[in-house]
Amino acid sequence: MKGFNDNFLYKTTAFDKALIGVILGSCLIVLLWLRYRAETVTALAHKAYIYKEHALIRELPLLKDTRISLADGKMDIEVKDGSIRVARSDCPRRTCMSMGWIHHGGQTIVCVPYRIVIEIKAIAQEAAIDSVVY
Amino acid sequence: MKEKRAGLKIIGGVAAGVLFYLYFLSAYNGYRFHREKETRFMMDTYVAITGIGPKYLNSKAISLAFGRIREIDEKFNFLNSKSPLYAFNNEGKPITDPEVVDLIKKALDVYRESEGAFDITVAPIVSLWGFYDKEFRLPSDGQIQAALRYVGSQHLKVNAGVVEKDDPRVKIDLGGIAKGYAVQEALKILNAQGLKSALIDAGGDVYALGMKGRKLWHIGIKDPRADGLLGYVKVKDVAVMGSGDYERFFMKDDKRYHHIIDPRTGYPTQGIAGVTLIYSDPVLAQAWTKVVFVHGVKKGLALLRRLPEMEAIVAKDSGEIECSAGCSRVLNKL
Repeated sequence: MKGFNDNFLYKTTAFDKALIGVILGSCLIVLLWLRYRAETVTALAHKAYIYKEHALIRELPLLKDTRISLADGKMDIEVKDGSIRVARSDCPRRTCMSMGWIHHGGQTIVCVPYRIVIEIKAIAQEAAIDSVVY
Repeated sequence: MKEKRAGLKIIGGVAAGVLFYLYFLSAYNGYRFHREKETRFMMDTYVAITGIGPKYLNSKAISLAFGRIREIDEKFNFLNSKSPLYAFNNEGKPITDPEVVDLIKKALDVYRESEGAFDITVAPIVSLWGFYDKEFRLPSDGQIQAALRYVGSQHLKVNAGVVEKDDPRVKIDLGGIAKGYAVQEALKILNAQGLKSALIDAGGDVYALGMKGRKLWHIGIKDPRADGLLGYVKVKDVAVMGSGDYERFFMKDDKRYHHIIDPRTGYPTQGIAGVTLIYSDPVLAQAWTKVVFVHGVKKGLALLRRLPEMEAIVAKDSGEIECSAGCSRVLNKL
C-alpha cells in the first residue's frame, strides 16, 4: 500500500503528537462525561422529589427508609424498600393515600388540598415511564 | 517524508472535524429537544404539561395552554357561581354559551351511543352518596328511587343553540367529559404554537403529542388493586384516559362504594375496578371509560367497537385483565 508503512506510522513531528494527544484527550473527556451523566441519571431514579405549590421542599433518597411529616403535621410520608407513599393524611378524600406505594420513575402522588406533589423522576432507560394513568 | 506527515495531519484534521461535528450535534439536539415541564393545580386536580422542543417555543406554548385550561375550568365547573352550569342547575337559567352547548351536545351523543351509560344528569345521585361534599353516606333505596325520577338526559332539550330542562330538579355535571375537553383545547394551543412533542397529564389522564424526541412516550397503567403498574403502553398522538373505583370511594361493612354511578340504578357500578382507553379524541376517550363500568366487560367492549381503533384495558374486580382486540399488542410488561 503506497505511503502506508512503518515510517509513516513512527516518524511523527511534535505537532502530530500534540494533535493525537488532543484527540485522545477529547475522547477521554467525552467518555468520562457520558459515564458521569449515566450515573447522575440513574441516581435520579433512587430519589423522590416533594413539591409544595411547585417549589421543591424535600428530596428523599428511596434507598433509605424514613418517615417525615408535611403540611404542618397533617400528612406523613413514608419511604420503605425503595418505594414511597402517603402513610397518613387529614385531607377529606385521602386520594393521595389510596395511590399506595410508588417506585417507578415518572410516578407521582398528588394531594390537591395540601398542594403537595411527590414525584419520582424518570430515568433514561427504555422502560422509563413518562406518566401514569389512573 | 513531508507527504507522510501531511497524511497524518489530514487524518488528525478529519478526526478533529468529527469531534467538532459531534459536539455541534449534541448542542443542536440540546436546543431542539429542550425539555420543559410545568405543573399547576386546577380542575380539582393537578395538570402537568411537558414540552420537548426549542426553548422559546416551549415556555410560551405551555403558558398559553395552561391559560386555556384555566378558562375551561372556570366555565365548565358547576360549583363556580359564575358558570353557566351553576345558573342552569340552581336557577333554571337556560344554557346559551355556544362552547358549553357544544360539549353538552357531544355528551348527549355519547349518552345515546352508550345506551344511557354515560349520563351528565347523574349529579343528584352522586350528591346523595356524598361524593361532592365529601361526607360519604349510604342513601336509602327510597331516596335513590326518588332522585332517579329527574335523572336521565331525556330531561334535556337542545334547540337552536339553547339547552333547557323539563324539570327544575335536573342538574348537569360535565366532570366526566370536561377534562378530556380541556386536554383537547390545550392540545390545540400546543399545535398552533408549533410544538411537535408534548405530554399533557391532567390528573392521571394523559395525551401524548408526537414522539418523546425520537422515542414513543411510555405511559404506565396503574394496577387498581395493588401498588405498582399493570404495565405500560408506547404511544404517540393519542389520549390515554383512565377511570378507577379507587379514585373516590368509601368502605362500609367491608364493601366498597365508589363514585362511578350507574345512572339507571343509582348505585355504584360493580365488577370493574379500572378502565383505561387509548384513543385519538381525548373528549370521547374520557366519556367512554364510564360506559365499560356501567355495562360490564362484554357489552362495554362490544359498544367500544363503534369507535374504530379505540383500545381498552379493563381491570376486573377479581384481578383479571381483559383487553380489546388489539390491546395485547399494546400493553407492555415492566
